Amino acid sequence: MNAPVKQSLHYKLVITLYRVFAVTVLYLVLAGIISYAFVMGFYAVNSSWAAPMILSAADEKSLDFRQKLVTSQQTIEDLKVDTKKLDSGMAEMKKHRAALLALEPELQRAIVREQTHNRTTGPELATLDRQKQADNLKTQKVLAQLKEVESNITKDLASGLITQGDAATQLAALNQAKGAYTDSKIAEVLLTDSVLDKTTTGTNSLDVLVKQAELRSEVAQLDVALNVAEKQLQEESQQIDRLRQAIQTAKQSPYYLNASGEKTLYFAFIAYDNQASAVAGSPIYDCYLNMVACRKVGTLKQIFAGEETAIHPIFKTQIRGFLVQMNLDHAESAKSKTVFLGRKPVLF
Amino acid sequence: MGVRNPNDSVITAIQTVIYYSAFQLYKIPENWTRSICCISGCLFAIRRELLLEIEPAIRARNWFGIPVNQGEDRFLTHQTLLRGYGTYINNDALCWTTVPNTLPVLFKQQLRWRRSIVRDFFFTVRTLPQHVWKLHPNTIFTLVLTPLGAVVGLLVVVTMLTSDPLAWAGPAPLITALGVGAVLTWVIKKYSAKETVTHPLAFGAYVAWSLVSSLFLTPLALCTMDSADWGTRTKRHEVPLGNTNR
Repeated sequence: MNAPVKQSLHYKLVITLYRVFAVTVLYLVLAGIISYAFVMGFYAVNSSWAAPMILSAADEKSLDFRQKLVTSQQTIEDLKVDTKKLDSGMAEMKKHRAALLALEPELQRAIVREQTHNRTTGPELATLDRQKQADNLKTQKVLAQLKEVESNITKDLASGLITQGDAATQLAALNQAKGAYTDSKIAEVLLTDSVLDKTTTGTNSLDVLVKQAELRSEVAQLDVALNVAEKQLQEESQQIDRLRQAIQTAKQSPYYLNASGEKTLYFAFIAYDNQASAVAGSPIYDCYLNMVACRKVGTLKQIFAGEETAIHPIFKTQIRGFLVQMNLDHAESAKSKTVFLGRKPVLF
Repeated sequence: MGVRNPNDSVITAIQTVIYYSAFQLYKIPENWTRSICCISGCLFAIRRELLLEIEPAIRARNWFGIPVNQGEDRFLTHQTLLRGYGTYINNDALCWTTVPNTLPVLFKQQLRWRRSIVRDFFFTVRTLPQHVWKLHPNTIFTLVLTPLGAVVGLLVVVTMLTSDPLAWAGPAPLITALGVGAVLTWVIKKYSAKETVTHPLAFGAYVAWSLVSSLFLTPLALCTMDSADWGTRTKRHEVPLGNTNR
């Protein structure tokens, strides 16, 4: 048998302390395991917990939200400027169109008038032209005889039968007749031109027709432009309305409230499983020991519609739910892992 | 060492895999450096004069004055190493053991072994300079890391449960255990057919056992170092010192 080892006083003290420490540790381990099991079981069945969240104005989501809000407002302003421009552009186009439309019948009437006049005067001028040509022919024949007269005058002058003055006068009269013939020929040619203009479709008529077509085309283009502008104006007006509605909806988001508010706001995440406990106005309890020793710390102010995902504060699994806004009398409760809605989770 | 009853229950199946990996994998590096840190008492062959030299030290073992009667095999091996001798196992010599097939018996056995590991660790730390100058680095490595691993395992489990309470329930630990178990049971079937585990998936239960082992056994061992109870059987009628007649 082993000889009993003499235990010194020092060893006895150590052993006593060791045993006290060991018992304490073992009880703590036991308590830890029981609490672990209890906490797991509690959160598996409890449906009134919520996880407080602190949203910072510098939070990525809040900043992103703010940026999108500012962008939307900027877009609305841009669209407003655009619609104003479209409005004034459309007014101008309408005026122009009205002016063109007023001009078009005038032009049509002038064309008709001109055509009618040409139909009347054309043949008349053609007849006169033929007459003129006949007259010129006769005059030409007469002028042919004038050569002989001119030579006789020259002979008479040379022979002294007439004075120089008389010769000059006679020659001048001959030249005048030649000149008149030439004028008459010119007049005949001009008349032929006029007859051609009035009896055929010349370039001037075509120019007028082209201008008429251009006028009509411009009116049609204005119609198209007005149509497009109207549709665009309608679309942009609708876009403005949609953006305004979106902004109104966005103002219901907790990120907007957080980003735009001056004072600190408190939010909490509630899982869909605990949705029934989320009633506006219900009291909020925070507990010193996870779910015991609870006190009322505020009330639930507002429930937000959008879905959020978060990590379960105990089980560390991803869960879906929504955010609520809390009115907290004790700001420290915003840092708790969980708070409880409606009533204390355990009896006290 | 082989397990005689690998298919008695899930517990024996797990132990079969553990024993096989311990003797065929874990102890091999120790064997290379002739520095096995714990030779099982029932299979311990030692020079007679060495045993007689160490015997007083074994009998004098105490925990602050309370006699210690557990872990003599580990202590004996340790003392052998400190006296400059090499220790090794001969894997060609096949021996068979019956492992606990119920949880209470297994728990008590493992608690006793955990206590001896921790006690040996304290001894190593207390006499570290001796170890550093006398022993192969691999020996010190094993003497320090094995018990430290148990303590670290406790801390890992506690940290895991506090940071992610359901980490143990996830698929990763189970799949890892099943994977390792599948490979090892296949190896056992190939190289040690007599202890083939019929249901390799039973090793999946090792996840639960490792949690229990880390969370309960280590603190319990640390807090009951003054216990002299073997648990599985009671030691009686110790032979007096120097008495070589049985």
